[in-house]
Amino acid sequence: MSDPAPPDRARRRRADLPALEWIASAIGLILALAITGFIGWQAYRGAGTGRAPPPAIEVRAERTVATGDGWVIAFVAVNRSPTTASAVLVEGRLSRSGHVVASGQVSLDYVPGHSERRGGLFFAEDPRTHDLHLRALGYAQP
Amino acid sequence: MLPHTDSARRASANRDYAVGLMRAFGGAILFAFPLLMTMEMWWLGFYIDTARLLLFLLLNGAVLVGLAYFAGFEKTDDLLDSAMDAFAAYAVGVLASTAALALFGIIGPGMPAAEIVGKIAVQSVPASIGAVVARKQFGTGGDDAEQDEKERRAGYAGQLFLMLAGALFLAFNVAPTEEMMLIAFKMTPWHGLATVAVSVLLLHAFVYSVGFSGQEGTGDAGWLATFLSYSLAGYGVALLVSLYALWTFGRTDGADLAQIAMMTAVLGLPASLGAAIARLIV
Repeated sequence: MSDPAPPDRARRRRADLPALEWIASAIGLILALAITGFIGWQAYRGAGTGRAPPPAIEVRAERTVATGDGWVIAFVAVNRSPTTASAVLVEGRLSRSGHVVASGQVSLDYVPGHSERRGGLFFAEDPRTHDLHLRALGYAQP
Repeated sequence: MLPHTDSARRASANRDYAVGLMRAFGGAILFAFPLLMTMEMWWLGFYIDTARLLLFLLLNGAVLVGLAYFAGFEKTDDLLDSAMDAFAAYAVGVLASTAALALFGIIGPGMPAAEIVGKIAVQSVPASIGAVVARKQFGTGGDDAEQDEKERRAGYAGQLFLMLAGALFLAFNVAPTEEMMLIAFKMTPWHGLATVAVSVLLLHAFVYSVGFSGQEGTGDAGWLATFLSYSLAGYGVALLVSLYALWTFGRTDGADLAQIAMMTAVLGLPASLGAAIARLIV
């Protein structure tokens, strides 16, 4: 009673499948192949598998804006490596004639591999009249 | 057969399938929502080990085919049909995850492709499971007899598979969070032992009250046989699934064996609940 359907019956059922079913499952197949293919290619390149180089984070000031009682420097942190860094500490220092006048720090939760994250540092002194130095101090492996 | 009746029948079949797809979308959103709004899930998208993610996606595909056979969002008869439904459910899962992540601003233009694909890939797992079991959740539920018949035919292995799918789903709902590690840090070994005992007891209580198909036949074998073959076996499945989920999310890397055992016991609680209620959901 639980015998499999005879082959001709199964074939007829298959021909009866609604067109929408073919379309939906074809889209699913394409998406599944695209995602696994993309991630497989990433794995093949060694991204995120421990063989990749450590994070390389570059911090650049984007603009300086006057706030009510000081200035804010908006910066972008760019990770040049495929490896994600977490708890990235960014430091900004203002100096005049080699003498550090002020410094500030901020921590970014995550800077994913080959990605950018933005932040800002507040200063009481005008950064445009000082030498600004921005850099990432360190990171933790997620 | 007259051409117009044939085309009318096809139109109705397409309409039925479209209703099934809408249910699948509902299931995907409902099941994946807690995870779509969990930040660890977004982060996993870019820091998860890519080889482990790939393995996880392949395993998800196998689970989807199995679930489509037992409880797909529309009726399935053979492997091809189940596989087609699994792929359709996967499409629904990916599209639903993409739409929700874009809505929340978690993914957007300007992000690197690797980050976007990673985030969608991680979320597509719970969403596609939700999509595939949507029929049971939103359907009319008139096919229980047919499903029972399938489960009876699949036998004990089929029951174990359902428990595995349930455990995987519920474990996955909590495994990515930091809380799994935090709870393990806070617990003493006595807490760990108590968690194991509570997990097994809860699992047994559910198995006993909800009932698994095929249990009718072993009803005469009594309490101990049910306990050994369903509750204890189910807990074994739950523990393995927990360990696998922890490994996939990188929680076991560099961790002490005692710490891994504790985390597995902690995650084993939701996993065994998932194993126990698999029959309710599926």
